[in-house]
Amino acid sequence: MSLILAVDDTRALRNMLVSCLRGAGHEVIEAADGQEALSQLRKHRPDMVITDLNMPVMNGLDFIENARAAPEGRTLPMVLLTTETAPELKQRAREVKATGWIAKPFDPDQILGLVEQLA
Amino acid sequence: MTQALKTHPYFDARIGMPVHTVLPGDHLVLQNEDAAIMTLLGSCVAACIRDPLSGAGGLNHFLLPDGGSGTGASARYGVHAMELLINALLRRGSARGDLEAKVFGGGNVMDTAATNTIGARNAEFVRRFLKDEGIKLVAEDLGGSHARRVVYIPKTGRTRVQVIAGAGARRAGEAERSLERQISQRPRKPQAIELF
Repeated sequence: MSLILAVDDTRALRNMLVSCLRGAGHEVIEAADGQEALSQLRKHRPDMVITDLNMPVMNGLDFIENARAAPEGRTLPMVLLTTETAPELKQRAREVKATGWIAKPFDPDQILGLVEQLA
Repeated sequence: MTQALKTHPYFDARIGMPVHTVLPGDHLVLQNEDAAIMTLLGSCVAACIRDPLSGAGGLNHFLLPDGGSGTGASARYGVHAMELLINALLRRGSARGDLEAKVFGGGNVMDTAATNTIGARNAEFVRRFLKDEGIKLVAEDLGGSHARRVVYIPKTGRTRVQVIAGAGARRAGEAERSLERQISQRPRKPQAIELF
């Protein structure tokens, strides 16, 4: 059982992510944007982060870049879960040291498999 | 399909502008263009969403496949369709709070109890999604027992909805059933996860 930080500005998506992870016995904390995610990260020290890319206030790429600079985030698995497909965004994800990239639509089995592998 | 293709438009003399067609499962966004988007809806729903400040807007066309309630597993197809459209607008600089939506469809076109449930479930999903996300719903025409031909002009936000009965309605229903079969038989994408 792991503690997962789920970050997405779409409430319906966050709810699906939370119920999928909790259903598999994981604990979940939530954030609706990158800024909120940074403070959740410092407060709760999760085992893994699953984050959207397009979000208001602070997007998923900037969030990961900032999180990597903090002691809590240096080696933390942080994956993007996104509708984006542009190669330059994927390149940027590599540059900010994201752990991986998951293409939406959201697939519960895929997410749980990845959590098993990384968290 | 995440990058919706802009189809070759046809010219509609009645509204005096080119019209792009959106097929089931797809979406399209236009920005400040003197053009319209058309889609044919049976039990599917279309959300027409625009940002009046930027003049960008578009519509999607989706259904929740059978085998789940609007809040259960099948809802993810709806969430995905809504996200694709909304993200396309946010990428153009819109703020969620400025967006306004009109929603259409969710009809019981096949005249069976099953499709009645599908239409109602799709309608319930889209209303609830917009409410949860704080997106203003400015007009809706959902339910009933007919298909609809919806023409949306994103630049002005104007819509024209025509009721379609008989053969046209059946054709709309059949196109949607084929989308539903595609969704339920779609093999899992092996490339969907990439570890760096």
